[in-house]
Amino acid sequence: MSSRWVLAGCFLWILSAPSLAAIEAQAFPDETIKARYYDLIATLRCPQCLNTNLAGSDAMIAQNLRATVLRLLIEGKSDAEVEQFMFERYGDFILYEPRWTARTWLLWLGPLGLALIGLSVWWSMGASSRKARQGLTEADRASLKRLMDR
Amino acid sequence: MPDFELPSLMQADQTLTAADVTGEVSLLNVWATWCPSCVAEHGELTRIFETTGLRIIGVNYNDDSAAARTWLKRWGDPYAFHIVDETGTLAIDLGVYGAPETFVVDADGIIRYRHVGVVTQKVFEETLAPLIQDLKDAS
Repeated sequence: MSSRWVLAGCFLWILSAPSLAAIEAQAFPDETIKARYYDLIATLRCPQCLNTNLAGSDAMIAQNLRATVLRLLIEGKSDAEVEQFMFERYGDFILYEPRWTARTWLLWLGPLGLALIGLSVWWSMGASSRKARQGLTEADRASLKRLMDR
Repeated sequence: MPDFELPSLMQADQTLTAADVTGEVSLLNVWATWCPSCVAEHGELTRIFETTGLRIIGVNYNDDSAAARTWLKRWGDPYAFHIVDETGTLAIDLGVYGAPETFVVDADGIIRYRHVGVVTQKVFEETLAPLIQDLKDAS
């Protein structure tokens, strides 16, 4: 029972991760831009960090990029244009959902491929254990008898 | 080079633009006083300037200008000039992750190579110097 509570605690902690984000005083001209700003910095990866979004990083580059996201939004850029701006400068790495390109297809299809390999291994293991459960064949019995009679 | 309009570290009244980075093959070095590897790299940049006379342009990245000037007084200044990029706008346009990073820029102001991390003598001699020679020969 207690482990369930630990699990629930972990889950709540994960949900609260955005609240761990760096606290910054940003001047938002309106609520829409504020909402779009928070959406964007949650979906752009900090280029310097291994796996943190712009929202959750204290790295200098993340601070600069957050300020840039807000500046671009205030200039009237669309969300897609902000993402394109970041992509042009930092490449696929900055997007948590990389685009479908010649260089990223493996990233998208890789997990599916691994799952298929896993499934086929599982299937063949199942097949061999089913065979083992069928017991001895006539040929097995014959060779066993030969050994016993020796 | 991406366009920019930023102050010069040593001449506060001077505005530098992308045009200032053209004219000859140069190294564009992104550095800061908060960056310990920049101190490690500084000796090699000084050696490169003293032995080859190559123009080295500094981008003082996300830094305090007064601290940057003190830093240069302490370690020496082999740079032709420094672009002050206090908020990292130029660095973002360059796709900089952190300091130090060094770009080889040709005489037309086109970036030909990007090196992330410290420029050591090995990096310079094996990678940068041959490229710089090719660019000089071509122009």
